[in-house]
Amino acid sequence: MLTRFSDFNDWPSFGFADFGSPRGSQHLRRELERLFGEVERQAQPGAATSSFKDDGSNFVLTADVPGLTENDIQISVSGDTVTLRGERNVAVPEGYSTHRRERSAVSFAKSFQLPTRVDADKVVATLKYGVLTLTLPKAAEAQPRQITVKAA
Amino acid sequence: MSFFNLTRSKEKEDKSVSQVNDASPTATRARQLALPVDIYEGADELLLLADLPGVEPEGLSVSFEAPELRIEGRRGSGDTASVYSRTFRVSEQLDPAGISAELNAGVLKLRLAKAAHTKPRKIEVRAG
Repeated sequence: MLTRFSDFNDWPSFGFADFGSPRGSQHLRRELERLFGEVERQAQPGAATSSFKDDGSNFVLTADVPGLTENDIQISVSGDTVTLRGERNVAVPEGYSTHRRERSAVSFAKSFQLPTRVDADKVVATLKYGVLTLTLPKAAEAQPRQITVKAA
Repeated sequence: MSFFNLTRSKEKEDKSVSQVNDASPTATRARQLALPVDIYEGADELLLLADLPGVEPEGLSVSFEAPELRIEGRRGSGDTASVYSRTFRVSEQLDPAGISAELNAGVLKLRLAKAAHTKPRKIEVRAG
């Protein structure tokens, strides 16, 4: 990763000092909030809409996407970049009149960069009860390593 | 013509359904989550759609005790649990046996059949 220093200059919020620090995660959280802003718009304070965690070997991203099915979400991962697209339409059922509409239509398309490269082949996405969970294993060179100190 | 109203929203409709409260009456410490709903009316039924992402069927409870309709969902468990809850007052006459609930991809679809006598009737006019 040290050789990719020039890349860090392109992402000030992931400056070298922030590498793997909580600040990096907060930045991603803000990115996610923007990404799922449509879902969040109706939400009151305290609503759970998305989260981002670094568990050491993986980045784990979860997002509330009620009403979206597998076919409504496209995910692509390349190097350290994740792109998510999704859409849900909220149509009035035919022959019905509307009394209340609080659920909003959702449309998002967003790319964002992770603090390290991830192993795109091993990314796992699951969708359960309207919650998307994306598990992104860090690339081998970004995995935490134990360095053994040998006696001289 | 409108049969639905959620009092808190100060809409101009009349009072067929009004919201009783947003928060759970029991002072639960679990975090309250926003529970947006859509309410539609057809000739024979009211249709309510609610977003409850993360709620499993076992964690969802829907109850109707005229005139109150209550939706409660529990998400997660232990310290990280949070709840969705809303109660509506329904003044439209419903058929308690005609209520069905379906949970799909985090969206609750609730069908509330109107009581037979409140359905609109077409009166045939015969020539004398």
